[in-house]
Amino acid sequence: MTTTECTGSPGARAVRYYEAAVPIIAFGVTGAGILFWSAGYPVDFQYVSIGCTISSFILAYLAWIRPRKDIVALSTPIYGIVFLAAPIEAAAGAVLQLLYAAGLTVLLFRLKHRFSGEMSGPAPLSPDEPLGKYQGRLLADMPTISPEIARAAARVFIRFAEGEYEESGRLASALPGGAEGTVPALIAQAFAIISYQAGRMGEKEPAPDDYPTFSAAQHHLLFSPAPDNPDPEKDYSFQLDNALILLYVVALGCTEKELQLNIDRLRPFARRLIGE
Amino acid sequence: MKIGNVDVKVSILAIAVFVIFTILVIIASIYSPAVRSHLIWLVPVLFMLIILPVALNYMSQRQYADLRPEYERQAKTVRIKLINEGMIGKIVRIEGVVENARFQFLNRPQYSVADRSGAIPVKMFTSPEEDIKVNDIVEVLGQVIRRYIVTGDPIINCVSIRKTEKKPES
Repeated sequence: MTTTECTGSPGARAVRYYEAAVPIIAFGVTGAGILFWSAGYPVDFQYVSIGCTISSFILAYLAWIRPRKDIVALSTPIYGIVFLAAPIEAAAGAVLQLLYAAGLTVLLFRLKHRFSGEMSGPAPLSPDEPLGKYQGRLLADMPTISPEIARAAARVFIRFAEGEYEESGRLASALPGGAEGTVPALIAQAFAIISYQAGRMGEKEPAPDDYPTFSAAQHHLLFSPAPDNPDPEKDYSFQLDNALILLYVVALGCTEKELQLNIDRLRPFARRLIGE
Repeated sequence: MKIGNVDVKVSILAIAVFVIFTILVIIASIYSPAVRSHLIWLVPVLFMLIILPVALNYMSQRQYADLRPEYERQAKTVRIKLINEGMIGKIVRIEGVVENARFQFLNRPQYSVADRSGAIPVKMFTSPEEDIKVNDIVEVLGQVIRRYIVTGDPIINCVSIRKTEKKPES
């Protein structure tokens, strides 16, 4: 389930209506109950809490559709149901439900503030962070990367991150433009490294004697510097980590929304690869 | 303690609870005739305090023993650094050094296992097959799950943790 906050898109409009509904329904139904009670009508506040209950389910839905789940917002329906199920006298019920409606509104703002960035597509890398600096270095050397390569890089990275190593290796070996030589050598080598190593993922054998590597001339464009006198296992891992980081940065140029969201979701993985 | 082929372990907490309540029942029955008249059901309930944890441990150990061959078949050996949110639900094998071990006395041990690439929490919901200590080199089989079920960092829900002789792969 994916929605974005791009202005004008139907999904984004629906999300905005749901967000507005949370305080409106919670305060609205509770306020109506208080008005009727003040006017002398017999009001059972146990059932007036239906407004807060509905709002809590809407809030939980808004939390559910975000890539990163907010467990606090997700658990609000539990309390909504408790309010609906428990008999309560009018004065206490009014106060409690007003407080609960206020709490739901605060949680809504918290959800939008802390989790809304993930809804609007991949956030650009900050030029101050290590990945951002690397992206700047890479783009200085390769200012234009074709959308097909970015899409292929995204697919390979995503499948690799998901543990689908055979699929990732297969996609990496089918690099578009690879046979024609239209792909920059650095990127082609990254695909080759992943294609080779993904095919051997899961094997408990030590690193082979011969495997695809970045050339010495390409080292200045890798994220991590080459280790001095690396042992074979360390060098083998070094090649894969740098290939993955390179493909992640290339994949940031992908324009397909679904792939963009997955790439953004995997940013913590990319940060872990660089050692953060 | 072995029941059939299953090695059953009772947690120290369960034993302590049994001992404490046994002492309480003995003291109460010495001083109170009313308690003595209820011993007919108190004594069986007292034994249930130790029998139930044994039975639960036996059932979970059997279930895990059944799962292990399937996990052995499906698991892929990965570096700890490569485990991420995208792998939630995947069955993995990691090899590393135990940096931290907690809650073993509850039969719900939690370890931190590290290889050259990083460290990851490993949680087990029953007692392990072997006595695992800090600095042991182990092989872990398990499923990648979220720390708090629906949210949190990826951790490993361990089905098997065994000591190995060799150095961990990186």
